[in-house]
Amino acid sequence: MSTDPAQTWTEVHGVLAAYLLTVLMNTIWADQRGGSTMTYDLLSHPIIPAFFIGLPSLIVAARLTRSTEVAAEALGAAPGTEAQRTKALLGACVVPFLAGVGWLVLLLVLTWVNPPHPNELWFGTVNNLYVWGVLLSLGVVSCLGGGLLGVLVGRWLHFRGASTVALVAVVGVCLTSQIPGMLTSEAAGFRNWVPWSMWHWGTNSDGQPFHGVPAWSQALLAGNPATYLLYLLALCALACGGAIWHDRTARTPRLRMLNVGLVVAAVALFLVTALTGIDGMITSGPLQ
Amino acid sequence: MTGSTWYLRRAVPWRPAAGCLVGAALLVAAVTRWPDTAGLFLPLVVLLGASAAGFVFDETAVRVATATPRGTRWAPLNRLCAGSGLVVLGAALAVVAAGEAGSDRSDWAGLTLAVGGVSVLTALVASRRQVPHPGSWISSTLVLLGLAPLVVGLMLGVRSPYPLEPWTDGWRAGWWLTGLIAWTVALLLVAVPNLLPARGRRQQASPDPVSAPGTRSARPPVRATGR
Repeated sequence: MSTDPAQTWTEVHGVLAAYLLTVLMNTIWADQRGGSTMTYDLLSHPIIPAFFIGLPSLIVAARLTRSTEVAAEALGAAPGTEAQRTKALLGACVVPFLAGVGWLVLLLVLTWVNPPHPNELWFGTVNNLYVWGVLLSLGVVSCLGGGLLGVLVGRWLHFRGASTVALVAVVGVCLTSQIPGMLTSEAAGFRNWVPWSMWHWGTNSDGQPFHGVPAWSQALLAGNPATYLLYLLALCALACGGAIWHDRTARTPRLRMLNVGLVVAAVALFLVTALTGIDGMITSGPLQ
Repeated sequence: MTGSTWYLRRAVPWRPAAGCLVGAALLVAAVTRWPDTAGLFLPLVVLLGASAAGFVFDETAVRVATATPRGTRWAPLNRLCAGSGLVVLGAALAVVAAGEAGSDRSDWAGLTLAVGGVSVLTALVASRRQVPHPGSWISSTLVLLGLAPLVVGLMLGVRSPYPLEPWTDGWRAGWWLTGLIAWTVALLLVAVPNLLPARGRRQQASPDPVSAPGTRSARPPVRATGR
């Protein structure tokens, strides 16, 4: 995705860190309970690629987008327009997306080799569509979305440190969906407006119940993970539309209609996500 | 107005540095209002306070500036002073936030001074390597690396390097030592410029067959990097 050594370093090491951490957590660092090695809290694992691949992609894509404009004068004389350059950068985001897909394949292989606890919230104990929804939206699409958001930031924010501001803003916004009171409230489904929503409540391994989740149990929280995946894809498409919109010559009625349509679709999908799917929460049996 | 003040007002990109500190101040306000957020926002206050200092060595014409009579010692020393001032301001914000969250103030101040020292040292080394705007890259990388232990700790239940729970003497000594080393090395690099000569000069000293007299260099004169 990038040619700058510093950017390549950030990207490659982020991917390696995500893969290595996942392998270690599912093998030698896996918990020993009941006399055997078992992996727990698998639906919390997508935070690894989201952080180590998605967020570095945001920084790299933002810097890469800005760097193409350093030679804007020379590029202005070239046949390509800004919109075409933006599309090329958006296309380059397939690299973090594929890295995310690779991470998911790795996780599935590891859990096939080392099966989780029978009560783990995973395929077989929860609706498979929900499990795929959580894994794909939080693990794979977040890698793609980080890159696309980086291109959007690079196009619209021209001040130094813009990528840092975006990084802090994304982390801060996502945190608002993870406040314990919010996770288990009546309106918990509405927390899913954020681009990385916490769906899985990790095992209460201290042996104490917490906010309605029994001791030694985990939970899948309110909302519809399957439509959340579609909501995130709509946000990704909006990031593309917003980045291309920066080029005045590309602001055609068709692009305007497309962006308006995407906003409507995103709002509709968010409402469906908040109001359907899991009512309250799904709790697991004890994992002890 | 002294020469140093005149120079710093024009040379240092105060807007992004101040932006980092304003961001940190907003997070302090958030911690005051919602103490539950301290686990994430207190480290972010430290990281943003340290990031502010990473911008002080940004210089568009870095190759020209280092070749001027004052470019090797006087200018970097002034920039270092500006960086230390920004880190102290960041530490003050961290102390306020720690007070609001009921955490140990001196540990948070020490941590900010240490991370700020590493940030300034990195910026200084990058500047010596003729990177025109290292600040942006340093700030984003610092925030990302600084948050990584929180994510890893969340998954593995390992101890956070931040004083969210009281530091042991070993942790405290380690961070103070890190800060001391970072600031000392930065000061040494400024006082004795030959310890780390600018990369551009080394290239000039060595024969470059591509840039031989009468031929056109295939390398661009200035690296085109993003901001």
